[in-house]
Amino acid sequence: MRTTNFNPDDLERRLEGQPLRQLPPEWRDEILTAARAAARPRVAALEFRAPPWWRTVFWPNPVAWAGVAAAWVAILILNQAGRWEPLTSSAGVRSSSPGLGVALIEHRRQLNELLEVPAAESAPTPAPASPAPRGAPPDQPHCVI
Amino acid sequence: MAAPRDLARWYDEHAQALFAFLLNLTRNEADTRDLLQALFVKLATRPDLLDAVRDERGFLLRMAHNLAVDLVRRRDTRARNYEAFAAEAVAVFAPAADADEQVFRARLTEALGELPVEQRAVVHLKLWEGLTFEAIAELLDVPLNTAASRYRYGLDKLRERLRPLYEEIR
Repeated sequence: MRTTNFNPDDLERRLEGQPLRQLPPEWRDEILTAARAAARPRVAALEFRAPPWWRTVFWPNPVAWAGVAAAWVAILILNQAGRWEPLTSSAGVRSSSPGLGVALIEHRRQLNELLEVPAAESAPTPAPASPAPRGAPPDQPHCVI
Repeated sequence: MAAPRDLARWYDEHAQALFAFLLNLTRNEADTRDLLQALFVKLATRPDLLDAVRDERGFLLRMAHNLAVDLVRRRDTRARNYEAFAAEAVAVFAPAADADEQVFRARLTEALGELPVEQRAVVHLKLWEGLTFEAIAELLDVPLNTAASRYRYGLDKLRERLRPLYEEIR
């Protein structure tokens, strides 16, 4: 065998002299960028813990909140439309359209002009309701004009 | 968060040594890159780690070793086959122009891969980082005698494995 001249120290020296593989240069930017980016989200996470108040209020279910808002809008519209109802009922006329109400007001204004009633008195004032006699039958309607 | 210049300086001064050490331990380039990145992420998020350290290189090599060991433990399936996996052909050394030298480096790479990870770590730190046994023992958190005996066993195996080739090409 050719092992008689083998010197361990020679081998160690030879091994020490073996150049190690070089680090790929493109890793530098990739690794440093990734390291810096990984350190950044901790700050972002802290900022995220304090969202705007409106997000806190509405966030759990924005669709439900939108539904509530739509319901309120519908209620307001219906309320506006129903404003004509007391005027027509006080006039003793059932009106289902706003145009009829306007015509009635105009008619009343012209009537007041003809009768020379002051403007302050033009608004219809309900007559004080006289108490019904105790013995009066309940099915007789009270007609107030 | 570490100042960008500190992180870059640490990389420029130590990444080559860390890369070679990790590559020799993991025998896998992708794992080496992941571990190297994990190490620098740790430094970026906890720069105070190096505040009271006098031997930056030794400390970083220790971090690299711990990360490599954690990787082995985490991947159970791979850990079982780690020794076989380590014998896979991965270029640990720089390519050589001379054909005989290239063959020697390839055989050395294979022989290193056949060593247990603990022995390979000690052999690497002694031969290619030039550390003393005291420094290696401290770095790997093992007794001095353990570090020395791991080196002796590892070198004996390398010698046995490389003897025919070494005699042939010397």
